[in-house]
Amino acid sequence: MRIEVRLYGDLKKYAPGDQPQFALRLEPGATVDDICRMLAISEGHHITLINGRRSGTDATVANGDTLVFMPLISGG
Amino acid sequence: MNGWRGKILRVDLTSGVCSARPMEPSVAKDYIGGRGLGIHFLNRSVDPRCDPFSAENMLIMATGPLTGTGAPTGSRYMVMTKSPLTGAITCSNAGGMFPTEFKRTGYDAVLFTGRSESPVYLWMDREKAELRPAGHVWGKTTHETTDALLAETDAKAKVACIGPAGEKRVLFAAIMNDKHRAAGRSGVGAVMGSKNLKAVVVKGKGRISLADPDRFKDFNKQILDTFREGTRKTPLGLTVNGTAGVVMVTQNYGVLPTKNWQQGTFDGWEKIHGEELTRRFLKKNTACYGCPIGCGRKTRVEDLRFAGEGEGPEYETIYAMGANCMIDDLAAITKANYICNELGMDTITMGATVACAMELVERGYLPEAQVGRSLKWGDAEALVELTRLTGIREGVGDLLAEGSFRLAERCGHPELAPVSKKQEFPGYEPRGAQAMGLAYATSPIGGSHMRGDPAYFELFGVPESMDPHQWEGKAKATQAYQDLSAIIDSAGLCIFFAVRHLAAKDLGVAPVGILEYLNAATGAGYTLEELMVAGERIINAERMFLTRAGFARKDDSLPDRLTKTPAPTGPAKGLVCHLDEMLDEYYQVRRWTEDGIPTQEVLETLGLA
Repeated sequence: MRIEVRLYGDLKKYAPGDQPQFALRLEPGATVDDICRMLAISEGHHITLINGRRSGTDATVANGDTLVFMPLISGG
Repeated sequence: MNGWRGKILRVDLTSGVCSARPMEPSVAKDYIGGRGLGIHFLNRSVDPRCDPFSAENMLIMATGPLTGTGAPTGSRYMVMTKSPLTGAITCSNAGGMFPTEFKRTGYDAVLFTGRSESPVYLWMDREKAELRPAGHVWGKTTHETTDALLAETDAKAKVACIGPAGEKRVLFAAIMNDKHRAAGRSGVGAVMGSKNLKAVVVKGKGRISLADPDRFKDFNKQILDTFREGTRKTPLGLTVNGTAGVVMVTQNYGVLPTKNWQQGTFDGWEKIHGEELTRRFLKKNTACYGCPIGCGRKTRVEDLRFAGEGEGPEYETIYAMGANCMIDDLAAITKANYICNELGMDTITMGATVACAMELVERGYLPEAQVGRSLKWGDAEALVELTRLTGIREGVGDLLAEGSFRLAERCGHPELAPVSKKQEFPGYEPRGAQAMGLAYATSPIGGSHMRGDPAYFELFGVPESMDPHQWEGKAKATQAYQDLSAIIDSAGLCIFFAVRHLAAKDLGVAPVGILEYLNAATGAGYTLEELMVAGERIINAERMFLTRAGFARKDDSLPDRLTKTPAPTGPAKGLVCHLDEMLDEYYQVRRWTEDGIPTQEVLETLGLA
């Protein structure tokens, strides 16, 4: 299956190529945690959204999903 | 008293008499300070049905017991009055250096009553207060006024003042302090202008005395050590990109209000995001008194069309003047922000009013001939020009100066104004962040995120996450955050630090850290329960003012655009905001009637009956 990954802020450094937004081919059943390991994203101050909804690290992604990693930011 | 100064200054602008009186210790403890003190005095002295521009209305500036103590972000003061924009109370707060200097004069608060016949400013040199003529600075910008008044008083004094917008009663005129910090919302500056009060200039001395300095110092060290350890490896997003970094968050959740609140995603968002602001315009970070975060942005724009220098923009400004107007030109947004600061206006209402005008023009409800120029979505030059005209009420600016609701109403389409209680919303779309809708609708000041900010648990995950699309169960968490905000606003703290570091790490957000600071500073011996009850008391006291002014459930509303029209784009596509269902739950949690009126039972519990 294929998903789209978008990295923002200081997480862009974990992109495998030049672009912080890229497609990723995965085995069915892959979790956010699996993807973090593939991209060597360390634990830290970031949040993960699958299709715009907050997800935990044990959440599984499905074909066509958009997975966003962004720094933990608050304000107003 | 410790923490508090124990004195209130009353300034009768009609007679010109300034008089000091002691603050009752029981009032201080029950209402904490700042926002709490403000509603206490409003309820005691102001007819909720009065004309906001009449001499009868009162303008209150109040610090909190932690203002100026060195507690992290203890830099704030609150301005309270009856708002000309909403007809409800308003409380708008600001940081910077002015509030601490104000408190060093020896007063916790100043209450302005009446109206001066000619322009004056208040000069407070320690405890000595006098009204001085201000005719020579009437008409001047906030920056010019600040410089002129510092030159004639004391170079080390601090100034809060209005600009031309406040003098001309723009309904969303701000009070600016330290040139760049704004008590921005609901027209507090217009009330100040209606009283012919141009500025408050303060010069104090010494430190704020603390009940238990050792206990205060030890706790402060513990809190700051934890904060610094947590941000050592990864600096706080607020420090790096300011609040403007939130553009990325709201866009990705699909809650970045765009095109006058028609949708929650904006294709041009990366051009107006905080990273762009940092890269293109940031000169240095600025911090309010005692703040370890430093989210302020000193910026400079060299683009010839929009050249300028100042502070900002904040996230809210970028949403309102950027995505909401479909403008992706960050230089123009920053320039319009500078103009708002110099003329003294709220950037949220300004941007939202321009966006509303753009839609009215597009739909043919507002002729471009009346605007005096073309006004299409995305027109950056129009934004800057209309902002300038509004601040001086010239041409179509005279109409925009009334805010989006009155503008849309005069065009026959009030439903197109993005408001609750006639005040424009901040930048979080309730169709994709349900509790934000509840917070806007029940905020005592109308559309606001600062009277309880569910974005923390819906979007930022602080201290824990709730699904932003779900509405069930949101009332309880919203109530907890509203009560917490009442305590933060009254203590003199900033929400940015206090929610994360001084509250319990669950959705009850008990103010455990604030409790320790308050007791070390004041010696008042608050229990956690007493402090939480004080938060609830303040909310209910505000609600009583609104109730007596004629507000009820009918006014706890959102436009149909958010409750009936499904979101057309992004992660929230297909959703509406379930306000009515949340309101039922919320009134039960608050122990208010189905019509949103506090019951006798709850008033008695809180000592408000």
